[in-house]
Formats: sequence, structure tokens, C-alpha cells
Amino acid sequence: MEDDIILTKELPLEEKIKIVNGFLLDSPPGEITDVITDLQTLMSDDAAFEEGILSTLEEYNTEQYITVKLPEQKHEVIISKYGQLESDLFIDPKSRQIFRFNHLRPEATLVEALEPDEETEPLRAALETAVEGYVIDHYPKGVSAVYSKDQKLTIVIVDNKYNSDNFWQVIDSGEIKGNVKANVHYYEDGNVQLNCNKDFELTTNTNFDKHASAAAAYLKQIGKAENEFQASLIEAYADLSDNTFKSLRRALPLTRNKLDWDKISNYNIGQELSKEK
Amino acid sequence: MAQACLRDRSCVTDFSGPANTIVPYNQNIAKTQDFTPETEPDSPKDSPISSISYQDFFRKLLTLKMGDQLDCALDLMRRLSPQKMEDNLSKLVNLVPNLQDDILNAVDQPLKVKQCKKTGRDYLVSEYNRDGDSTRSPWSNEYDPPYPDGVVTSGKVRLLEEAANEAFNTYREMYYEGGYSSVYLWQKGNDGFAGAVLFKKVDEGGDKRKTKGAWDSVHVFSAGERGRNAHYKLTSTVMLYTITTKPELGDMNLSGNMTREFDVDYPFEDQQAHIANIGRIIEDMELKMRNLLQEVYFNKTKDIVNDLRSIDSLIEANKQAEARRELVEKIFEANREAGKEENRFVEKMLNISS
Repeated sequence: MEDDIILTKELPLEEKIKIVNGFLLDSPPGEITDVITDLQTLMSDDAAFEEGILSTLEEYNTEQYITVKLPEQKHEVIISKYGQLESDLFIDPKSRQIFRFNHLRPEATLVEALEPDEETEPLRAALETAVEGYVIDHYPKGVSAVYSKDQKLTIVIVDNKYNSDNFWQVIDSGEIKGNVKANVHYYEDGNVQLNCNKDFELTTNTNFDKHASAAAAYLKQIGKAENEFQASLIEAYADLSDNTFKSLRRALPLTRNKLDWDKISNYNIGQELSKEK
Repeated sequence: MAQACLRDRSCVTDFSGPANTIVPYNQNIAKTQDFTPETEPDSPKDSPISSISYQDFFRKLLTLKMGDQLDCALDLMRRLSPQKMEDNLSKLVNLVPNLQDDILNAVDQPLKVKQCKKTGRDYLVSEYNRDGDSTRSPWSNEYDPPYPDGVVTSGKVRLLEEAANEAFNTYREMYYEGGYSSVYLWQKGNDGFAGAVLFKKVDEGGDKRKTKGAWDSVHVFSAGERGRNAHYKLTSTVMLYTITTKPELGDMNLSGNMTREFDVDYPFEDQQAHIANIGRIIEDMELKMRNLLQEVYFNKTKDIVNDLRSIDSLIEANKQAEARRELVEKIFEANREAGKEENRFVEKMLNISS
């Protein structure tokens, strides 16, 4: 019976786990559960599978900025490395909570209250208010968070329905670093994916007395950068459709007529075929 | 193994097997059952009752599991990045080596271009003209590197193959204005045949444009003769890859594949009618696929991006919508008032007349 099963040389288990983990990280937004189910069926060793993918799931969840609801909270929170204390401990700066997140499930449980960093908290809170206003204005289903870690403030905005995730880091007074990512998976009759991402470095004048004014100045820059990015994405779509797509294959030949197949197929072959008959 | 692989291919176009096609998710379960007959080595009917042993039971279980596994493998390929398709495919085959042939038969890969040593003409390499490590040129019917045991197409079917290659070469020039085409045919049953019609075009973009693109078409068909009619079954996959790099945009990659099926009866009088029939079917299919790709790639995914984020202020848009609602409300109100006025007038008139 063994001979029937092993037709080709099997890879060692750790090599297989490596491939599995690569596939997991490549899962489109919102489809990780389906990918896990597929891989579980392909892998026969369940225990090794679960153990082998745990740290990859952590990587996936934090890099894809997945969102989760905290018990007794209305807003969703983001799983990201900017709010990560330990592998399964995260903070929600808005409700000032520390929560434990199960990467395999995925679900969250509250642990304890979070003591905010006194120095950065006023600007962080002002940014949070400004970001929330901005998200309402531009992201129909957006979720956001503003983190303070190592004297750096980081803004994360996510729309996970099909996935767009942006992070902006306020490095220093006036300097902003960011990355914007858009990922779309269309799978009716096939598999079509859009991947687009761009890094940003912006500067702004933040010489204000009030934190709220500084926050507004940051958000103005971020909003402008995101709008320009999106506009150039739309422009790229038009270029692809009008130029690249047309140059690959015409909708109709130059003659504007479909081919005369009787003429084409008769050309130089009719006789040979009838000889063969 | 290679021989078995080639024979499998004709099963693929039969569409009863584990499918060359990318089926929607919800059809996965039905496909599992289709998978059983081919891998089951002997039917329990032929063996004495006593021999329906654990071994048979486990064999059956294994067969079922392989069917499940194939569905999962194909489902996985529909989810992972099409941009990394070849890499993903080779990893997947390493993960489940026992499904190698089924997976490679079921998933169309980007086509490679190779030059025919004998004629100097370029041809396309796919699973349909590969045997072992050698590939068959449609122009010379010879394997490169030479492979004496390789399956070649012969007789009537080879003549059709030669004619089809010339005909689709004309088609390629008319629609693709460049690129590559290849047609491979093989005998199927006593009076039928099957084949693959392949096109590839690459657009390097050039200096001025910031985009690159590639189009690969794979049309796999079977043709069966039924009296004065021929029955054709076609499965078409188009892989379209685009890359755009601009400072204001960063890196944009919009790529993937789409698959459609079609079957039809056409009258045929002689062998060469097959080429005209298949030509028309593929021409119509490519037009449909092109429209579908246009819609999905450049409209649907763009709409999704704009659904995720709005360039215009949503607060402003809501305000305007609210203002419009109020205006409509006011017009209704005015109309109602006017209506009442009118009614009063009519009532008055009626009262007078009565």
C-alpha cells in the first residue's frame, strides 16, 4: 500500500512548511481562511501544519493590518506591528486597552488598561481626532489608529473589504514617511489581481501653538498625497486600457471585418487533404 | 510517464476528467466525483467478494482524498497571486507530487517562445507539445532536443495541423499584428481529434510609455463528427499581465487570467471545414474574452479601488445629497399644494354643474 501512495520523492516536512508559509503570506485580503483550508487538505500532518504556520499567521495578520472587534467596544481595532507589545499582545490607543489576540482564531480578549505616554499623548490624541475625521470623509468603510511608539507617531488607515492599507509615520516635527498599498482580487471566471504600492516622504510646516492645528496640517499633506496617488492610479488604468491593451490585441482587424475563414482554410491546403482522403 | 501525460491531455478536452478548466468554487464538490474513474485501478465488480479488502477500501479512500486534494490545489491557484503563477505552481507540485500531472494539465501557464531548429520559425511551448524535456515544433513536427519516443501527430490529423497553423498564423497577423501563434492537434478516439490553439503577444512599452503588457491565449478544443455535423467543445483561457511604473504611482501590477467554456454543433462537408469552423469559434470566443477582460481589468477593479477610497469629500457629497433630498421634498410639497388647489377647483366646478 505504501508503494501506491508514494509515487514521487516527497519533500522533507520543513521544506513543505516553508512552501505553505510562502503561500499563506501570498493570500489575498480576507481569504486567509480559505487558503488555510486548502493547505490543510494538501498537507497530511495536521499537528505539524498548525505548529508550523503559527508565526507566519502572526506575520500575515500584522502585515495585512487585519481588523478585529474588542469585547464591549464599538470601534474595530487594527492588528499592526506599531501597536504590538508581544507576539500576541497589542494595544488599542483609542480605548486605552491592552488586548490579547489569537492569531489562529482570530479573536481578541481584553487584558488590562493602557497607560499612555505622557509626552506624546496630546499630539497623538489630536492626530487621532483629525485622522478619524479624514477617514469619514474619504474611506466609506475605513478603520484607523494612531500609535505612539519610541517617540514616533504612526497613523494606520485600513479598508479591508478588498484591501487598501496605508500607514503614515510622523518622524520628527514636520517630516512624514508613508506607504500606500492597494490590493484587489477579482475571482469570478478566473483570478485577476491588482497590486499597487508607493512609498512617500512628505514635509509640512508644524509651527503651531495648538496640537489640533498641527494635526490638521499633517492630515492636509496626507490627504493631498493620497488623492494624487489615487488620481495617478486612475490615469494608469486609462493608459492601460487605451494603449497597452489595444496594442496587445485588436478588437477587430484593420479591415473592420471578421476573417473570411472559408477563404483562409482553402488556401493551399484543400488539395492535399482531399488527396489523403 | 510522459506518454501517459500526453494521453491524459485528450481526456482533458473530453471535459469529463478533472478538467482543464477553472471552475467556479461552488462546483468543486461535483468535480471530486468525476475524478474517481481514472485513478481507480480495478473495479470491485471484477474481483471476488472476499477480495473487497481493506486494501480496496484504502485505495478508494486515497482516490477520494486525491480528488479533494486536486480541488484544493486548483482553488489555491485561483487565490494566490497570478503575478507569481509559475513559481507558485512549481511549489505546489513539490507539495503534492502525486498530483503533478493533474495540476499541470489543469492549470494553464504563461506560454514560452522557442525557435524551431529546422525551419527557424518561432513556436509556442506549452503542456500540449511537451514530452519529457523535449518540445515539438508545429512547423517541422520534430522534437527539440530530439526525442525518438516522443508522440508526433501523423496522417490526416497532421495535415490538418499544418493547415491550421497556417490559417491561425494569418489570424494572428490580423488581430495581434505581431506576436506568436501555434496549433497542436492530436487524435482522439476513432473519428475525432482535439487540439490547442495558442497565441502570445508581448508589449515592451518602449521609452515613452511606462507600461508593459503580455497577452497569452490558450484555446483547448475537441472535435467529434456526428454524421453531417461536427460537435466542438472549447475551453479558453486568456492570461493578461500588465506592469506600470511611474514616480507618482509607484509600482502597479494588474494581472491575472480568465476562463470561459463554449460548445456548439456546426455542419461540415470535408476535413478542411473543421479549420473554418474552429476558426470562427475561436474568433468569436476571443472577442467575447477581450470584452470580458476589458470590463473586469479596467472597469471592475478600478471601481473597487474607488469604492475603497473616495477622492472627493464624502462629507461634502452627503451634504449635497441631503440638499437634493430637501429640494425634491420641497417640490413634492409644492405639487401637493398645487394638487389640493386643483382638486378644490374641480370640486367647485362639479358643484356648479350639479
